[in-house]
Amino acid sequence: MIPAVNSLNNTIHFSAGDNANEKKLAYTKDTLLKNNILTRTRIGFDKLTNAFTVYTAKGLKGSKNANFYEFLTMGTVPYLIGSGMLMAVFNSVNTKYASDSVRHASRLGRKMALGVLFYGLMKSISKPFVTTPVKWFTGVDTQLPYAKVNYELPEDINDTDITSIEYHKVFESVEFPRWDLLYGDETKGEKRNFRYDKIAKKLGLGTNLNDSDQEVKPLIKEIVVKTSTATNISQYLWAACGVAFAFQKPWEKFFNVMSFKFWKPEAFSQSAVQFGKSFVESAKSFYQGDGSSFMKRHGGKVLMGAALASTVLGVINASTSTNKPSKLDSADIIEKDRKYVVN
Amino acid sequence: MTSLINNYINTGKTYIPQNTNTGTMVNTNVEELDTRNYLKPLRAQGRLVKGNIFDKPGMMVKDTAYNMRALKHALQGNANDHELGKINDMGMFLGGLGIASYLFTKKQAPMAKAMEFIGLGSFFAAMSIWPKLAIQLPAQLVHGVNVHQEYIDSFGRKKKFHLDPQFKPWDLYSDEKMAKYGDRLGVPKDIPNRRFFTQEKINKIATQSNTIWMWSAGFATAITSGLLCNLLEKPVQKGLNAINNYRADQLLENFPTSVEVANKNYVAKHINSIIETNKGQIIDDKLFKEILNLFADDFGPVTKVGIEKDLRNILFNNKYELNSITVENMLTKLNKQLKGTKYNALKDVIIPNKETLIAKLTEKNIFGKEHHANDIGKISRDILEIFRNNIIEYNKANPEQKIDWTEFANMLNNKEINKPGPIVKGLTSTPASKMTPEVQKNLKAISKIFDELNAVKNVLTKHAYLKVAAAPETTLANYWNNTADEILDLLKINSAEIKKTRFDSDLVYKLIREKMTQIATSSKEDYTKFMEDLGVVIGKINDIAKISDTNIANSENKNSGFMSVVDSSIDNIADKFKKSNVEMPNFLQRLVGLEYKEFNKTTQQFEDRIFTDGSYKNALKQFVTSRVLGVESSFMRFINAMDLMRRIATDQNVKELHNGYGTETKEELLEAAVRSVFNDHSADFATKGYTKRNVHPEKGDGNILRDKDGRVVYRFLNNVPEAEKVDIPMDAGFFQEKIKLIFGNPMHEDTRNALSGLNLDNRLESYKAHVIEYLADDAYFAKPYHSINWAKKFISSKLKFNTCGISITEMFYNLFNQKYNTNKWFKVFGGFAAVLYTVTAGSQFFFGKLKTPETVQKG
Repeated sequence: MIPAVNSLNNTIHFSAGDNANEKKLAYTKDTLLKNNILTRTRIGFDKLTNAFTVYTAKGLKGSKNANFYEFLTMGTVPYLIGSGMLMAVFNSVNTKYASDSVRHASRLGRKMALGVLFYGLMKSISKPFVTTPVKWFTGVDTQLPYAKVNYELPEDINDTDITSIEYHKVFESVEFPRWDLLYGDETKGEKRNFRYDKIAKKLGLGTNLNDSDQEVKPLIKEIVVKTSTATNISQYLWAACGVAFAFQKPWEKFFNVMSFKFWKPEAFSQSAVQFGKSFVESAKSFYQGDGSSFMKRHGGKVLMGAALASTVLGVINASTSTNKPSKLDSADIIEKDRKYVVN
Repeated sequence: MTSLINNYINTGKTYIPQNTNTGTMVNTNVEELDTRNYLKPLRAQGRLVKGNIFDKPGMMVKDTAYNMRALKHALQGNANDHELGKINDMGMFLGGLGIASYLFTKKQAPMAKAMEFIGLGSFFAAMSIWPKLAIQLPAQLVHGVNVHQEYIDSFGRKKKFHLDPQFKPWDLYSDEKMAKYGDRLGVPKDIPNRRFFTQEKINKIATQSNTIWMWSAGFATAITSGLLCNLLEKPVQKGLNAINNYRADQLLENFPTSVEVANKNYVAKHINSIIETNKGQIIDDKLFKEILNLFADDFGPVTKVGIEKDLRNILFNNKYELNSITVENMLTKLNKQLKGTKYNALKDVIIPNKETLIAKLTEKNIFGKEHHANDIGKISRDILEIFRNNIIEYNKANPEQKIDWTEFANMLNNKEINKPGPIVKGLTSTPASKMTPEVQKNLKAISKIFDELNAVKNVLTKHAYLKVAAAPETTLANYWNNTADEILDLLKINSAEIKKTRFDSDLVYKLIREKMTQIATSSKEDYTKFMEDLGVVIGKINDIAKISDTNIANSENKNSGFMSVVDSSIDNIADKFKKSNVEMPNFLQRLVGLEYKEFNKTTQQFEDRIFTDGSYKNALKQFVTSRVLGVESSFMRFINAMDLMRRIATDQNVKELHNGYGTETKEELLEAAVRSVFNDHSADFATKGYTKRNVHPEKGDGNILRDKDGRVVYRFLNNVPEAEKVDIPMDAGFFQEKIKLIFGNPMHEDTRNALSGLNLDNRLESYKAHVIEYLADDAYFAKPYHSINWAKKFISSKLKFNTCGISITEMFYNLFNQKYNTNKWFKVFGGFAAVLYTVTAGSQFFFGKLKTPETVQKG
């Protein structure tokens, strides 16, 4: 087996560089991070800035160190630009139209813009709708992040900066989850399997298992697959709800007084108040619908119902395991205090 | 577990034990290992996807099957990373579908509905087209490399070859293929590790292409999908229009079947259930209303009143029974009325009990009998008389506490609130009308005919709606849009001209007038060519107008004319009502018209006539004719304007009308006529035109001066400042001359020749005649002599509006703005898209630059 590079504790040098100029790394080895809002924000910010700067530069240069992670992270670029562009397509030319067309066009354009905004918003906030209950019920945090120290090839002979930090999730790949990161560090007094113990207990496998990690790994894998299936489908349905919500008529009242000029308190507060009112009215209008046909009246309910159903069913599916290990059969459990007769 | 190795395995590559039969067996006893053989890499199990267009359908089926399997695995919890990626794509599509479906329900017109899904489709199409056109194709052309090459791995998973720079199954490319790539990429032939260097070069191109893909996709997808939608709008509209038309035509062609399908027997079913629950029961007001609504809800208020009158005759004889229940009801209501008043304590003194009251009513010989509604007042007075006698007796016995009769009676009769009092209410509580077998039979009989009528009505209105309603996508509306567009092309108006004039209708007017003058003053051939082209464009009205053509009834295709179907089907229904032996004269009068007899002087006999104005049947026809008329008039107005200008330019069919006028007046007349065809609305006709004129016009030589092209040169018209000119309301002659000049004179022979082939000349004549009849001869009290035929007609404003048609200036003003808006969007984003494409595609020329290693020294 190839020895792990980071086990050498970063003393390896591929080139004759000046050690004093070497950058200080936040992590010297792959490190499990806490899944809290602070970390998530920091990771999000780091990925976003890198996507627009470092990764783009590396990609455009065609660097041999540009990798799949960077490519995926750059996926934010078209997402954000595309959102802005969609808003622009429906709004930027409107003022150039003839006066009577402006109103009509901008009404639609602003709804579109709001739709784009709500799409992104709903898509990102709806993920926890599935992952959080799954964590409650199973103890498996499918979104657990870790920092990965990546060793690159030197671009040239003087390149000493050969490390980079990437932020991954432990269960990013269901085929190759980073099980290793979930083991406790015994040098710090942690029990080796303490994370797996917790999950085993939550999953009802009991406590004090000899090899809880081996027991729960297949179960975790199943939960991760099911959770990610549910989020992959439900997040887009919630996003669709966001767009439908943005297309409600009451928003037009907000558009009429909309102002982002916070230095003009009167206009800004009026705009903010109207936003609240339009929000409530639009929510009602989205839910109640209007018109004569069935779909006109209940379209909103159907769409929201679909999103809700995909979320709830997804959580239920993820929280109910189909393959409990056979070891759990009571007949197979050897109780220490009992006497057994072997035939 | 660490980074480098992890990087490698995280990408999903799985080592597959190969078929050992093909490799060399390892024999540990062999002294010398055959390293050459032993270290040979295992043969690749995957394969590159070589898709051409013919493989696409098969691939789509395979991909769908794979996706379905992926979904199954994902739900069961045993999917792999690749399959989960597919679920994400499916979720995205599902969400998009959700949005499109929701917005679909919010839109009214079929075109807008269709565009929701086209928008969704074009968005996904844009996402896949852009990388192919702006990245893959240029890279292929510049470098000869497919940067979006796909391969299928040993598990049958389809992946992009260049997506993960750290894991590329290069062994899928043979040495020969790599050598060819090397040649195409200009890799020197004599370097060490040529294959590896070529790989590096391709890697670089692919990484750079992927990056430019990520950066351009955001801009491109939104714009490309917008442009695609714009491109698709016309063809989709055309397709929908054809479907629309076909549906409408089918409705009429198979009219009896359509009616049968539309007949849901709604009224008959409900009447039966009403009869079941109310058999033999009294028909009170509530039940009457229920029955009335069932029959009349689908009709307008006028027809509803007719139905109500007839139903009253069928259901009621307007009589009420006076029996013990009536008395009981009356006493209850009386007690209720007295409760809380000062008379409550004395009610037993004033109001007799049930038995006494019945006895007294029997005495009067009115108990146990039916009474007509008209007699209720008298009976109620009789009953009051009984109460009065009781009060008189009480007052005699208690002179200190007298009851004031008038006050009591007023209270009892609800004088203050002017509503029927408890006595009348009680007396009318037991109508003599009951749901007798006779009534049941009549109701059942007419309910069936009503169902049929409703079905006929539904089919006819649906046809009319699809063809001509005010909705944006009827056959008529589409005709209008297309024709107006094509006229713009015929006049050769370019986008620069539109941009310059579109914000001001005066500028639009000047531009259009100039364009039309150019054509009117052109050679005979040019003018005829233009008019023929115009005829072809406008001539499609012949198809549309068929719907409003009453003459079709006489042609071969007898059943297809809308008007004839309306006539025959509604008349047929009316006949059925007559034959049903249930009298419904009021309703029939509203349905088909008022029947009357007229004395025919020649035959010396009375003949049956029918006055159809205002009938339901007529309204149905009018809806169609007036809509078609409005559109037809607008285009005929344009043709007529063209003809007028041709006549003026060639001095034909113009002169003889106003011989007595001096030159300036003639100039004023010509100018007023041209301005009128361009700008007048029906309101201008109604006030007989307002023309500012010189009160002391120059006589001149009485001739109009024209230049060599035929353009009129005004010698006097503009000499007097506008402020000094006034309208001369007494000069009816000027108005008459103007109308005759525009609408009265025969058309130019060039015009007739160009239009006669399509029968448009006759349509033009009839349009002109209609304008004179409905607009010019319309009576206006302030200008009583402004009329052509001295007929003072009173025409409905709707007919005047439709006959007048849209003014030419207004038509073009609207068109210009519409065109400008579309063009503006196209220009801004089309330009942006072009620049984006050039940058994205052009960047390939800068990709893949790699320092070539030193060549191998030979010798």
